[in-house]
Order: sequence, then structure tokens, then C-alpha cells
Amino acid sequence: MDFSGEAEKEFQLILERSENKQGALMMTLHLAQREYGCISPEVEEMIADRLELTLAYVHGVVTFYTFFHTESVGKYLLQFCSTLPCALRGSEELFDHCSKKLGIKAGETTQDGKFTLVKVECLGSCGTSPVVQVNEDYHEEMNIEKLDKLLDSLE
Amino acid sequence: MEPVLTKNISSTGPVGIDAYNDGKGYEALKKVLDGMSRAEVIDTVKACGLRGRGGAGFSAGMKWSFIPSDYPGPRYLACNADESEPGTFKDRQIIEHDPHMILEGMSVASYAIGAKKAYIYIRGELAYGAKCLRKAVDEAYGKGMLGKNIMGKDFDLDVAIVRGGAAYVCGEETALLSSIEGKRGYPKLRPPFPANPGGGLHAEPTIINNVETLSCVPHIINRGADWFKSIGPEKSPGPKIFGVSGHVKKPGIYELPMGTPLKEIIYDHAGGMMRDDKKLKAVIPGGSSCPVLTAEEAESVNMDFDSLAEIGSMLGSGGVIVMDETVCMVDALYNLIRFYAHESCGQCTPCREGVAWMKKIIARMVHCEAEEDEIDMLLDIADNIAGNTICPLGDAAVFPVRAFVKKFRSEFEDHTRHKKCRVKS
Amino acid sequence: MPSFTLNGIEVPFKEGETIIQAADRAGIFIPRFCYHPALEIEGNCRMCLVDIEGGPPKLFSACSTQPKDGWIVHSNNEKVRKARAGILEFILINHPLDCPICDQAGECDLQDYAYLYGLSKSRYKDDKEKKPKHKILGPTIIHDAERCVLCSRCIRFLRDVVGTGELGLFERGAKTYVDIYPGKQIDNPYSGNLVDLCPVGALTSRDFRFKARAWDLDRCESVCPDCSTGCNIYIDSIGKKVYNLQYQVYRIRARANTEVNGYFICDAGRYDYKWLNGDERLWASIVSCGDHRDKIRTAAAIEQVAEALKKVVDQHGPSSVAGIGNARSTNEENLLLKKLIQDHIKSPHLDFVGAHGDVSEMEDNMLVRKDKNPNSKGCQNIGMAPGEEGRDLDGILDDADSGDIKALVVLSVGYKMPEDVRSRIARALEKVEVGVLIDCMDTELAHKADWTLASVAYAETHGTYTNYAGRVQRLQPTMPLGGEARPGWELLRDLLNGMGAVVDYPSAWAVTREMLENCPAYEGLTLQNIGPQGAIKTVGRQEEEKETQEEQSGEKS
Repeated sequence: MDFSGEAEKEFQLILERSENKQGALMMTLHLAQREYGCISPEVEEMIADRLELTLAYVHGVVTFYTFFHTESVGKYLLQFCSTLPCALRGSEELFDHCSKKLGIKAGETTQDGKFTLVKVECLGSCGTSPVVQVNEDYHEEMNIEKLDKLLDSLE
Repeated sequence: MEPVLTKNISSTGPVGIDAYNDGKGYEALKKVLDGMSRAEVIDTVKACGLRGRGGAGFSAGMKWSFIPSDYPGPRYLACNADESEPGTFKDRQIIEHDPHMILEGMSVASYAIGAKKAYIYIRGELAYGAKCLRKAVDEAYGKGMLGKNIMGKDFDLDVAIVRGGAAYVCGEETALLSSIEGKRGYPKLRPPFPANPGGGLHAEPTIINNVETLSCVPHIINRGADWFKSIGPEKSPGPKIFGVSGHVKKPGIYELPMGTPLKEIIYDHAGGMMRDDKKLKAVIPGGSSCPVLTAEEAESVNMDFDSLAEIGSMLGSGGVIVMDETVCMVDALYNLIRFYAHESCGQCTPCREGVAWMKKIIARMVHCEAEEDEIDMLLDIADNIAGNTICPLGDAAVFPVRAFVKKFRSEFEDHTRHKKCRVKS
Repeated sequence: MPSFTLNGIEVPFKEGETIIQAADRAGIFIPRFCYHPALEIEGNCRMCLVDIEGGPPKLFSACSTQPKDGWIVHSNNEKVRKARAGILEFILINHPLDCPICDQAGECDLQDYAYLYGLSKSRYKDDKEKKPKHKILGPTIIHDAERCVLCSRCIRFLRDVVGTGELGLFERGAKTYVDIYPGKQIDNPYSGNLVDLCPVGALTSRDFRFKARAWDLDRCESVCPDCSTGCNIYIDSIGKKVYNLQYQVYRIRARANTEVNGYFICDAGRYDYKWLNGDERLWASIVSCGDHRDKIRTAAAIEQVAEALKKVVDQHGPSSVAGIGNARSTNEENLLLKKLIQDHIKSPHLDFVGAHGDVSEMEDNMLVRKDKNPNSKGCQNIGMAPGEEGRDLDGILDDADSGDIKALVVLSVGYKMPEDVRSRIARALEKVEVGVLIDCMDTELAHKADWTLASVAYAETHGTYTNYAGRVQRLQPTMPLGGEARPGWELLRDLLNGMGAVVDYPSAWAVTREMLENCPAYEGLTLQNIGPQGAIKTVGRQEEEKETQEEQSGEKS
């Protein structure tokens, strides 16, 4: 397993822009998660090899940053912001509704592998709360109706 | 006040380099490179009174002057775009709508401190924001605003973007540097401070500034220090982007002069209380780390660094969280302490163990399963954390605990002594 | 010299030092978990917080703060004591109540600090964090993440000192724990140092697990006998009265010596102690008659050997006797053998088993050297070499074979001799009329010798080794053993006296002193200046001593 094609080109750019190999780790992890879906042990081994770091070190960085998942997630990662500004405007009820609708609890994935449901901390869009991030996209000023429409629209 | 930082906030997509600054491009950078020495730039920024908009409120010009001018090695500039303080959402607006303003500010700052390499550290969740910045950086290189011999002068600058990984602690300036270095986001010991040899990125002198702070810089250069100083109070001047969230009718971004009364922000700009029949109860003035204000305090204070400090709170990032009378303050505190426990990096003992402990106690208080003497115990634990940590995150967790308990103690007593919540019943 | 006051005591400091380093040199103890003199400073435990008068209102970590001349620092005022008690409370809220089953008990920094600086009651009512327990990390280390105080010494050691980086910190916040990468092992030649480094019972020794309690162990300061580096060690043992056991060595730990091994030792030396407890140890002398082997009182054996040697000298002359020393034996044993053979019997035939040339060549890039003898240099320095027209080792063994050498006195240390040399010596001992072996183990050699005088091993005797650099380092015995097995130097002294030499050595040190006085390689060394760190002849030694005195008194003379 290794980067190839466009990913390899981007990896080379990342190396160019970093002071040293260790400094390339954050952006390399982002690239790898986009390419492979998650940072599995194989991915860690490849990155450790390319950046000349120990496995324990890479794993330590991966597990520190909650953005990186070590196991694969559903096609759509539903991230519900649950910090105070969103909580004040109904994020809790929104989450409960979604949980019931999909039949899964926080951290779980639907049987068909389509949705993974998680609670996250402040997404930095408090003026348009409640906010739900689906994969990379922010969905703002959500309510139950909009949420239902959104879920139905996701293939 | 006519918008300065949020002029292009309604644009669809980021303003490109050709349209930037109404088509005038990097006007401030040109002015600086044409005829200002590094010392002059620093003096201008000092004189105008610009204070950091990331939360600490430290004089930006003074920070820049901390780098020893005769240091022979490399220096770095880092732009803190990690915006993760609950209640704060202002930097995102500039990143997604007017990124060249940030880049121009970074260029002037880099020139002033003698840096040839600058980093933008942006929170990982803002994937779209990172794309906007990437596009802007590429455009800048394309037009010779970045790279070698910028504008034909003896000034080189490279800018790299590093995306964070959903760790609030990486908004702390030295943890941010650790993350850029490819490490776990642990803050560094101080001294040495980042601007001094041994204390910054890769142990070289580094200046870290917030997005909004850097965005002010082109305007200061273009319009002059006096202009900037004329807006708002003398010791805390300039335009400020306030963000209002919570129980108001019109949550969102409001760029106003520093020193605007909080009452005006809530009732005039943000449309007043969300529900007309629910009164104001509490306001967090500048992001969750700032001590909460009672309704009376909120309705009588001005939003600038010193006024809020005088009443025992902070301006912080200017993220205003409004709570009405339906909010149980024990619940609200639990929400915040859960945030800090989740975000504690775990490096040092008091924050790692103490914040998690406070969370457990407050969780029991929420469910009316705690004893009354645990309220004072909570404050004692807070005392053992504050000041004993490597970075201010420990303090940031302690301030809400102290303020909530002090100003809304009766609710904590209800939950513990009387085992009931008067607010929710 | 600049200084600051700490708790009212003036403490001089060097440029670049931190408060804790200056305090350590001055003998004032500030508690710490994460600080270690061999590792990069991290300042994460916050145990070493001190109060600087006139400074900012918060406390500072002594390990990371450089003092300024004239500062007034407190490490024991009320503010510091409250903060320290608070830090300990934080560590203890998630710490498991494992003391009754934890190997670290009795030598645990957390126990000691909790007793000295902590509160006696716990206010914690919630559940403790659950983390991996009794997890095997490799051949030498077993791990308990719940006991860990996250000082990160282990991480820094493996990453910066050894360079293998097997351990990492995983997760974030209160869920952080130390662990090995799944599927990997800690398998490097310095892994045992992790046990010494870990201030609590999180990383413990698989070898030592559940074997003994720290407070039952007797400790002595010694030197590792496994290579010419001469790393300083502690040997921990228990004598007969405890646990109803015979004397047993339980473990070896690193002893700090900044001039030799720093703070660490290699695993090969650390775990090589089991032979000291083995069944092959000789606790009584042996006399052989044909195929018949009998135990014999050592004093009687020495008498018989003296008789036999005298007879050979009378009948065949001094040159029919030869001696073979050993680079695994102490200086004192080798010196007395030389005295016996060359000075008293007046035979020139003397050599030693060990390395004869330069012994400083490294085997790895840390501590291990290629010469696996602790005292080659010592033997070289005192002249364990043939005299005029004397035969060297090969020559002696050839002559023993051919019958020209009729008596042989050999120093040996059990199985620690190269196979080919041992078999030749065995044959030689068998061939000669009078074959005398001084050894601590009952090996092939003891089966071939006519007399085997039982000696104790390096761990049970006074004496010295000289390392590759020429540093003389002293051994301490684990405990006084009053049996038939005796220190090698005593056996040789009694043999000398038995042969009419009339020598008076009331202790091993008397032999050491004679060596120091007569050997040019040890010029300037005396018994007084061989302290716990040993001593080495250096050019300009006088100036060095003067500088050390100046530092300690804090003023220029």
C-alpha cells in the first residue's frame, strides 16, 4: 500500500512545504484519510515508513486528534455539534431525533453502512446553530424538518 | 460603522485576488515594501493599539517587537486559524469570504519580524475554509505576492497551510506550533517564549497571531494608526467582529467598534431575546472561557478588553453566548466542563486529572446525585488547577466553574441540598 | 559564582542550570516524577513547583526554570505545600489501590511523596479510569497503565537515548495512556532501564515480578563483570534469615556514574546474575585422587597445596611452576597470584586469560564493549605477563602438555571462559603433577584439577576492577559469607603464608593499596580517593580536585 498518482503528487507537495518529514505528518494524515477512508494499521505503517517515524509515534499522533479515525466509518459521517451555543438552540433534541430515526446510538453505524452518528464539540459556527457536519460539509440552522430532508437526500 | 473586516461577508465564495481590496490588491504590502523599515511597521502597529483578537488581548505590536532584531537564524509567523472556542465563529467569515486580507496581513507581519516562512494553522473541520485558503495562496504565488522577490523587492515569503485535527488545545499558541511540528498537540514550556530563541517553531523565534488580528493590519497600514485608534476606547481600539449566539432572534456576526455596550449588541443588533416571554438570565461575553455575566452585569458593561476585565470577566474572542431564564446553569456548566475535559491534552497532571474530576462531580450535580459540600470542594479543586498548569487551558476550564458557582450558587444548592432543579420543573 | 536562596539556604548555580539541578547538587530535595538528569526536561508532572518571591503570583516548575542571581525561592512554604498536595491528590484519584501486589512498593516515588507531602484522606467519589493492566510488553517488561503517572520518562528514554521509540502516548486528556504499538514488543538491549526509570509500578521487571519485597533486599554497590566498560551497579540480595532461604541474589540495578555509564546499564549485564544462585556454585573446596573427588576443608586444602608446590620447586626448580591469572578476577586476586608465582616461587611463567591489547572498542553505540572481561586492563596494568625468559599463555599450556611445566595455579570464574581456552587449561590441569584451581563454580576445570580451592564470586568479595579507561572501581560484597568458600585474595594470601612468604594483608584493601603504590598506571590514586565512582589517573588531576572544591564552597580560593 502506498500513495500513487494524484495522491503521490500531493504528498510530494506536502513534503516540499514542510520543514522536515515529521512536520509533514498532519497534512499527510489528512491526505491518507481522504484516500483510504480511515487511518488503519496498514496506513500507519506506510506513513511511518515514508516519513521515517516509529509506529508508536504515528499512532500517538493519530489517536490524539479526534478528526482521524482508526476504523472505517459509514458513507456519511453525521457529526452533531453538542457544545453550549448549539445546545441552547436544540442540538440535543435534533440528535435524539436522528438517533431514533436511524436506529443507532452515538458512535454506531447503520447496518447498511450508510450513516455513522457521532456527537462532536464546537464546530465554530455558533451563529447558525444547530450545526450538523456531514463528511466535510457544514449544514447550518438545522431543525428536525431540514434534517429529515437532508437524510432522505443522501444516497 | 462601515464594515472594515466584514466588507465582503456576503460574497458567494471567497473574493479572488483580482477583486480583492476593491481591485486595488495588496496595497498595504506595497506601501510597506516601498518605503517602511521593519522597525517603522512595528512601531505603527504598536502605536495604533491593536490588541490580539484570539482571546488574550496582548498588544500585537509589542509581541512583534519581542523577536531579537539581531537574531541570525530563521524566524516564523504563524496565523492561528484554529478557532475552536465555543461561541466563536468570526475568523471563519474572513477565511471563507476575504482570505487575501489575511494573507496580506501575514505578509506585512512577516516583513516586520523578518520571517521568510509563514504558516496558517486552520482547524481540521473547516475543509471548505482550507480550500479557500489554498486557492488564495496559489493565486498569490501566481501574481508574485508570495515567493521570491515579492513586488520586485528584497522580500521573500513562503506560506504553508497546515490543517488541524479537531483539538481545541491547538488553538493555544505553543500547542499550535507542536502540531505544525507533527507532534501531539502539547503546549510547550515557557520560558523560553515563542518569540525567543528556543521557544518557537522548530526552536526558532516565532510570532503567532489570530486571523482577525492579522486582518486588521492592512487597514492599519492603509489608513494609518490614528484612524484605527480613533475607533472605540483608547486602550482597546479598533473595529471588532462580535459573534452572537444562543437565545437571540438574530444570531450572527456583527462588526462594531470596540467598546460597544453589550446591551446594544444583544437587543439592537441581535434582535433581542429569542422568545419574547423569556427574560435574559446570563451572558458569556467572549467565548466559553470568559467568566459568565449575570443579566444585570451584561446590560451595563461595554465590550472592550479593559471594561470586561474590570468586572472580573474577559473580552476574549468576543463570542457572545446569550442564555435566557429557561437555562439551568448546572446543565450549562456541565456542557462546558464536558467540552474542556474532552479537549484537555493530558500533558500535565492538574488539568488532565482535575478537569475530568470536576466534570464527574458536575455530572452528578446535574442528576441531583451530589452532596452540598461538593460545591466548595469543586472550588477547591479549581484552585489546585489554576496557575499550576503548563498552559492556560487549565485556567480556561476553571473560570467558568468559578463564575457559574459564584453567580448562580442557589441553583447548585438546589441540585445538591434539595435534590431538585427549580429551573426545569 | 551566582546563587539563589532556596528555603533560606544559599545555592550556587552554573550557567544554563535549572533550579532543580542546582538544588540536587546542593543536596536539597525537590520532589519530581518527570524530571530525570539523563532525559530532556518536560515539566509535565508539576510536582516540583516552587514559589519565587517577588515574581509572578503563580508557581513555577523548578525543573524547567533557570534561576537568576539573588532570587529567593521557596519549595516548602504553605503555598507550595498546598499545590503539591493538590497535585498528589490529582495523581491518586485514578491510581489503583495496588500497593499490596505492586512490585514497586517500598521503592515507589508516589508512595514516598504521598506519605511526605500528601493528604491522608481521599475526597474522590467517582469511578477510576480503566486502562490496560499487567500487559506484557516484551521479554523483560510488564506494564500497568493504571498505575502510570504519565511522566513520559519511558517515552523519552526509548526515543532519545536508545533510539528505538517502541512506546507511545495514545489518546488524549484523562484517557491518555502509555502503550506499545499493537503487535510490537519492547525488545532492545537496554529495555531493563525502563524499570529503574519508572518512578511508580507502571513498568516493572518480568524477571523480578512477585519475587521479593524491596524492603527485604540488602543492597551493595558493585561493578558489572560482563565487559570492559565497568558499568556501576547495585546488587540486591537477601540473606539466610529472611524467607528461610539461602543467600540469593534477586536483581541487579543500574548505579549512576557520570564518568562511566551515566544512569543506565545494558540488559546483558542486568540479567546475568542467576549463575550466582546456581547449583554449580562451589561452596566447599575439593581434592581429587584419581577419579575420586572429595570435599576438603579449605584450610587443609591450602596446606596440602603449599606442600605439593614446595615439593615440585625443590625437585624440579622454580621454572617448573606456572600461573594463569584471569581478567574476570579482581586486581587483588591477580596481584597475589603474581606475587606467589613471580616474587615468591621466582618462576617467570605468568600470563592471564583475557584481552591483552586495547580493550576500549565498542560493540554498540551506547555502553557495550567487545572485550567481555571486566578487568583486562587491570591485569595488563599490574603486569600479569611473563618475566624474563618466561612463557606466555600458549607457551605455558604447551609446556604443561610436554611435561616441562609440572605445577599450575589457575584463576577461573566458572563458565565465563572461552571454550577453546578452557579445554586446553583443563587438559593442562590434568596433565601436570600439581594442578591447582581457584574457582567459584564446579565446572570441567574443577574436575581436572588436583585441588580446587573454593572462592566466592565477584558479588561476594571486596576488591577492584580496572575498566577499559584505566578507572579503578571497587566492589562491595553483598553479605559477609563465613563458609568454606572464601574471597580469592584470601586464599592466595594464606597460600603465600603457607609457602613461607610471610605476608600481612589484614583486608583486601591492603592489597589494593600495595597495587596503587607500586603501579605507575595508578599514579596519584590512593585508597581515599577511590570513592563510589572509582578513580582514574588523569593529567592535571590536582587542578581538577581544586576546581571541585571551589564549586562546592561556592567561592574562589
